[in-house]
Amino acid sequence: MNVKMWPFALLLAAGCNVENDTQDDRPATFEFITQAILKPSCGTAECHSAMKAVKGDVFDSVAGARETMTVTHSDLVYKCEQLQPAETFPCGNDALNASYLYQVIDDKDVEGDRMPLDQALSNKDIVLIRTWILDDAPGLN
Amino acid sequence: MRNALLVVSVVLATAGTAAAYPQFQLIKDQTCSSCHLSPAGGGLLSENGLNTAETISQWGTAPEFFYKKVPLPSWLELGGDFRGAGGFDQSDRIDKGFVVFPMQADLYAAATFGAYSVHVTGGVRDPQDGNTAKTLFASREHWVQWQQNPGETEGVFVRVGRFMPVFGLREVEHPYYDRRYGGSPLYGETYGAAVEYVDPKWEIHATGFIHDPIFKDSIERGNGGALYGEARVTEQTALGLEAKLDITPDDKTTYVGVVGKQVIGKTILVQADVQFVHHKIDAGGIENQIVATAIASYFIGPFMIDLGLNDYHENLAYKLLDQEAIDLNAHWFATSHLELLLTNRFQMLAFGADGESSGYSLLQLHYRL
Repeated sequence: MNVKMWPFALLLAAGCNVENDTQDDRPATFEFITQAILKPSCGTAECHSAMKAVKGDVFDSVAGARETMTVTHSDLVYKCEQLQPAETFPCGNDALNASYLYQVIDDKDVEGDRMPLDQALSNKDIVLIRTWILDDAPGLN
Repeated sequence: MRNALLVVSVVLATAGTAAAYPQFQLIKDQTCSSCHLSPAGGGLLSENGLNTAETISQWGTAPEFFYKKVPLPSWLELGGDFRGAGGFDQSDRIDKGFVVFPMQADLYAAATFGAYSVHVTGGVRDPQDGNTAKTLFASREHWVQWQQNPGETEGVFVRVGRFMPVFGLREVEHPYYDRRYGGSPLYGETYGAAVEYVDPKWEIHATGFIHDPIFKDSIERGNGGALYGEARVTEQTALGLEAKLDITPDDKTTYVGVVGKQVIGKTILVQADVQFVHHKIDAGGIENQIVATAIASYFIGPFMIDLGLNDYHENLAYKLLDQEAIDLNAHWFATSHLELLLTNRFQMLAFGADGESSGYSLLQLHYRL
């Protein structure tokens, strides 16, 4: 192939990638969810970046999101053992209902705003975060 | 429900930052540097840029700094940009209301001594929550520049300092997806060195950058490099290739893209930026993405009308992970310094198949000092 044509071939190949709407085998891990979902959707410059840190929440790095979810706002994600009273895994919807992060992306925050403000997350991303919490939030601690 | 009618917010802040109006390229002149002091465009205007600001506007007025009321030595250029906006914002069917917010307050200075010049942009930024006093003022850009042909708009330029790596269309409006999800995000300036060559027929910009060692909370968190090359195939057509590598402690992101610009007649410019993004997360997981923005701009008298189409595929391996946005922006250049801008956006998830759509309609005031 002509060397000059390879970027176009790359774009074409990417565009023709086989899509699948029946399953989602993306990693339901803290690091993946932070980097693939929270950073581009929530960790933007004017919102939850380390630079702006609205309400002290930072989602544009793994370290920042970990600090946010374990120290700054530890009510964002509950693992089974953190519930009151503590439960053993699997604690099912109890962890989901207690996790503020899931509430604000699926419904509303305490001020009545769904997050992110500018555009809702896709259902597939919301389901992946739900799966992660139901799995006891692997990678968070 | 967000029921307050007036919400002072910076959530939608659409600061112009260091970007310029790429819509003017080819329509007004061949290169960005023919109207700006920076070889990448943006910021202070050159004499040609000042003339363009005057001639395109409805009522003219002296285009120079402070209407030329403040005499400046020949080696010094000063300027500034101030923006604010307000209007209607709708996040979903229930969550909607009126918003008002400041966007930009930047002052520019450039001091030139022969082949060398110092460029500084300083002003108010969106401060960190709870840390306003320490973070309200910042210098987004400051660099030292050497240029091969002093006083000219062409030739070799070398820059060292803090600036936005040259990549993509570099629109003023950062919500365009090629900036929002692509390789030139809002506040993406960082420290680096660039070697650039600009000619009416072609230009190339090579930038190496590092994560800001001074302001640890900067948006650009990685080290890497950006390469942008553009050839003006004819006076009406330009084709560009771009690549960027960004390595952070968490991930590695590679951008490869193409840029095209085409003048139709004498009053329409169509331009597009399509980026393929390979995102490798160190802890596990790979995403291949497409980020694309196409803008058609129509010039009529003191007005510029932009129709923008945006597409972002978060992960090409899965359906229903795409989002789209349509922008309709109308600029009115009232005077050499004053611009009124109506920006409108309609945004969808998977063309409306995966959740509620959103949008806004905002009136923006821009004053160039």
